[in-house]
Amino acid sequence: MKTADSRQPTADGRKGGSLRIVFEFWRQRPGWVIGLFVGTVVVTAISIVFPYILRIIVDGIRRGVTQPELVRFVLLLVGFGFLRVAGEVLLPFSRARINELYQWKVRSEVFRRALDMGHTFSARYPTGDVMERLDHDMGELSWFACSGLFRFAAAGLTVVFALVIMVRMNPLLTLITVLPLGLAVLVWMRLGPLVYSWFMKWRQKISEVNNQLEAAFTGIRLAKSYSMEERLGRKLRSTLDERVGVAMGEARTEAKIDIMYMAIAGVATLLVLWVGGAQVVHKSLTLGAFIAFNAYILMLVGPMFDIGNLFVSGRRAQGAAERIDSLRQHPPEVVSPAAPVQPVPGELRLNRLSFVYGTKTALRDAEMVFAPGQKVGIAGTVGSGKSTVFRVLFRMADPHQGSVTLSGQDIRQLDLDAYRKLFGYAPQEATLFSDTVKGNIVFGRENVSDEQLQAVVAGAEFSGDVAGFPKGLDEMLGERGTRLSGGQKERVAIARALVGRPPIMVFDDATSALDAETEKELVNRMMNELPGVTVSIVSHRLSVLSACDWVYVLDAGKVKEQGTHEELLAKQGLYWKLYQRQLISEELEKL
Amino acid sequence: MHWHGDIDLEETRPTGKAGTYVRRLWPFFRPYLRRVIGAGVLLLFSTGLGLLGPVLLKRAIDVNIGQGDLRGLAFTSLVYLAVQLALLVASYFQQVWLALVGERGAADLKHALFRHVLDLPMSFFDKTPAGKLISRVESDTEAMKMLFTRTSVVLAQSALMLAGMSIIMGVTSLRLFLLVLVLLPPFVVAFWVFQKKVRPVYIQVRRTVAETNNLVSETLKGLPVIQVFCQQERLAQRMDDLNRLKYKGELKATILWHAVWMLVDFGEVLGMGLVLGIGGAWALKGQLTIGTLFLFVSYITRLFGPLRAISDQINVMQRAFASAERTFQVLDLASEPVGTPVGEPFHLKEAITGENINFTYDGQNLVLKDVSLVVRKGEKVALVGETGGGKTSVVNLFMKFYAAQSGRIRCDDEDISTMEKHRLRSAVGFVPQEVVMFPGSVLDNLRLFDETISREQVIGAVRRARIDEAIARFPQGYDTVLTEGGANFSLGERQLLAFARALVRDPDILILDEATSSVDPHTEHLIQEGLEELLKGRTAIVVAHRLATIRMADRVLVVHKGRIAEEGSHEELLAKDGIYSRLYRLQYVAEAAT
Repeated sequence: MKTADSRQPTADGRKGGSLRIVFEFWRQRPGWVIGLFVGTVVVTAISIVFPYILRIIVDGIRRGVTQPELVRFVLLLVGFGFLRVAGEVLLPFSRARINELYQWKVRSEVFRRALDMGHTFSARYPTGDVMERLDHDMGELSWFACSGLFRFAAAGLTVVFALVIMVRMNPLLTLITVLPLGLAVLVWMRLGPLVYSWFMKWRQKISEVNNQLEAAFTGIRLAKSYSMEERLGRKLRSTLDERVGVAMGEARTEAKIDIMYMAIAGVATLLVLWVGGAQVVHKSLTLGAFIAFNAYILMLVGPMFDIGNLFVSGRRAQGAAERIDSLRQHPPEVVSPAAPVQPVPGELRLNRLSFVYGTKTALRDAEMVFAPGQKVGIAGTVGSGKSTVFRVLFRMADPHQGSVTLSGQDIRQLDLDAYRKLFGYAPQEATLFSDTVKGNIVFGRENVSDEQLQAVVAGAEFSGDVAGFPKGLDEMLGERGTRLSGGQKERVAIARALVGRPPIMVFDDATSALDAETEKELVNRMMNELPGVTVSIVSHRLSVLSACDWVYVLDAGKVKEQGTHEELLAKQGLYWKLYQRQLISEELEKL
Repeated sequence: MHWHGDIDLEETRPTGKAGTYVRRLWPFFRPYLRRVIGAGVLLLFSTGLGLLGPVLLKRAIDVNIGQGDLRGLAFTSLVYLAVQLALLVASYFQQVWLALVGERGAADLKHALFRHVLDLPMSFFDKTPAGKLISRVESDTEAMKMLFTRTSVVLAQSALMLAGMSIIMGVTSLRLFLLVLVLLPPFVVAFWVFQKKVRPVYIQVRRTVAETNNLVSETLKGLPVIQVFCQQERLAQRMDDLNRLKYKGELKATILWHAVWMLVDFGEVLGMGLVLGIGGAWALKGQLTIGTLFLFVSYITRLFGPLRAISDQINVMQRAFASAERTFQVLDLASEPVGTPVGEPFHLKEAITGENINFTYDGQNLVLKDVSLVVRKGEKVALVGETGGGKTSVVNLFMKFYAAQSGRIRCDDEDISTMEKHRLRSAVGFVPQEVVMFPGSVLDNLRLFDETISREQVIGAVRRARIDEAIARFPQGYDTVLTEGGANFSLGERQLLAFARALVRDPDILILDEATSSVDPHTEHLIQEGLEELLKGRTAIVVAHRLATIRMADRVLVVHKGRIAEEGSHEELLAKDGIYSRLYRLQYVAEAAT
């Protein structure tokens, strides 16, 4: 998260990748590029003049200037000094600011795209991975995007400007003293990659340590039962020792770079002292120029570092850019059609629909009908394809074969948002957000009146619970708020689905944490209170489905049986077996 | 990076005194005292040498160049060279030694913390997620390392430099020094004010970052709901708002920082102006040399650096102390009871007996109610029942993972509550439900890093567990390094590996928590064979789910709602038409349904 402008290089990242994501940002802001560049030129020029004024003053004092002259010179120095300070602070400040701005814009953009992603994205990028990319990689990249590039520019300009002045003051002395400085770039280019490779090894060791910690903590029962405590400790110890070795390799390389720089600066100063000093004695160099030379040499050391660093930090930034860009470039599962048709509520139908995850078929030739106002139950064992039915119904993914139609219209031709807004949905695991109870129920929808809110809360049988919260509907949930029980969470999710009374409701085993009685009561009442609304319901308690007009039984992605609850029971097939299990479980519960 | 993000959420404020933390941390760095002292001496030395540069240049300007003494100049240059060389060597070793002390000390601390955590009672692990523990061991120790490597150096070096420069300046020209000194107090006050202001800004920024991370995680997990309710735009807006908030916070901090830098730089310029203006006037009168002016100008640019460095370290120290606080909270927790050590290993002669056991995890809900059971030597007992009924708790108590609130468990005549934990556990082969694999080779995982177990012993056990072919599949065989979680073996194979793990030790007692996941028929067959081999000649308590496993048992105990509700053989229990017969039908119907 360090985005201050001055950043020490520690290497990280992978090879290759493109910096497209950086150049796009600048291409949209040509004014900034010019502004920053001009700023860099001006500030560098002012900084370069400063030692020159020092020279004038020293030579003046040596010559024996008058008091007023000295005051004038010193005021000039202080004036220029302030100017320089202002520039040298404002410029890094602008860079740091743009680093942050870049982070803001790119993170927002990538996040916006992620919001439209489907199951292939989630499968490829685990949540922790996305967080890591949006946080750590983003910090890495944003520093390079502005500071890295423009510090390099400033360094280049400083070298050029300083060389011009120094050559004009004394070409020979310039040649002699600057040569060792050039070495600094070489040193960094040689040792920089070494630091990088040590750093990668070090990260490797850190992850080895982390893996051992994780295995030991998650496998603590096994570790304790086989008295592994001491042995795991020894194992960690040896990895830690290796890690110390690698860290020391890095520390030694860094120390070497440090002293190389010191040595180079020292040698250059020594040369100025010796050669320049002799020239002063021989009157071919003024004492002021001698002191100015000294200052220039010290001014050049830092830029040498920045120039060399560009190659290392650029490579790291490339890696980070690639990781962030790959999130951005992931194709969404579905997109709204170019010429969208407005949906007409009516019969929803699955037509010989097949759906495949990778190589695994989740639905095969499924035919299902959800007529307006009909209450449709879906039953089946775990993994039979129930959730996939909803996935294609919501058009979160398109089927590989067959289609979903609404009033005879293929949903792929419908306006995506308008189509999805026809649904109310309570998912299998009540998904709540760090917000108030009200925020979770209203969930961003506008024009929800207090009466409507009260009605849905009552509809989900949550009123009593709300009355118990200190702040009622404004109670915060999650980390810093109240923690709800499983049943309470489910009822919040149901209330959310009821808001606005959408024409199609989907309850995907959304009442599993309630006890059997409450569940049945809640579902029956909802069914009665929602005439004309299509309801599709999955419940692991099959008795709940007896309230449905029609029930589909899924098995291994196929519709194996269908009919009313009673018809299915009479058939003594799969549904009946599932029902028997249910009965036995209920008996056991009571024993 | 598992530990990332988590720490951001925690704003533990150190409650103790700085001295307390340093005193408690000291033992970890104490073994490296000689290096610490060495580095300290070098630090003193290199700081001193660093200050000499301008002094030598002053001499060169005033004495050598001023008098046109080229030989003198050459001599001064040589001294300068020597000083520089010494400085290089000193600072190299100082850096490297301190890094070494820091790394070793931190490694010792990590190791000590890890070992301590492993000895903590199981209830600690129930309350603390693994991610948090990892960040305790990893990030907190790293933060403390900074205290001993970076902070101490910066503080010492800065103080030394300030003192050294003051002395040299004072000796060279007392009145010019006093002039410079006038500048300092406003800056010290400015730094102090800055410190007060910037800290809350950083806390705010860290909160925003944590909130952003939370939003990302919530959103990615709730994508289906968000998409069905078409809330993408709203959440994108929320993200944008948080990003703006972070931007503003960072901007505020950046402004504060740059304001301080500007102040410092202005101070430098002012100082230079003062020195050259007033000092220059004195020099014109011949009261000062140009070399002295040069020396002061050189030092002024170095004067504010240490002040800034000191103020930076205050932040680092505060975070390190917060880390120390969290670390010592863990280190101060009591380990699980070890029991009384007895020399010889335990061998079961008669029976394992449990009498009137009552047990609760949370102090409220009893998960075992007045449970009594006897498992005679050589007997195989299956525990069956619904999830949450208490089967695993029986195993947990026997393994001494937890202690019962009342009642007792005995192995022959020994009460396990006083039995040394390793003595009990090493008599037991434990196969938990989830197969855990540790980073390392197949061999490491089979003998669980116990190198007193020979390769041959392992190979024998592997054959008996019928997993030899699966291992032979890999070119490196037993030395194959497992990928994360042992993913290069299938689920069924991993179970067989877990059997082999127990067989390697040839234990008297076997505790098996059977996996519920289904495997293909071939592997199923292998597992049954492996299980028979595993149970042969041993006293066994098996938490059983498969019918075939239950049939291998001599006796079945039905654990239902915290009690042993039924007991008997499979046939006896079936005839009873009670809980067992229902569990059986449930299983039977389930198998028929799929």
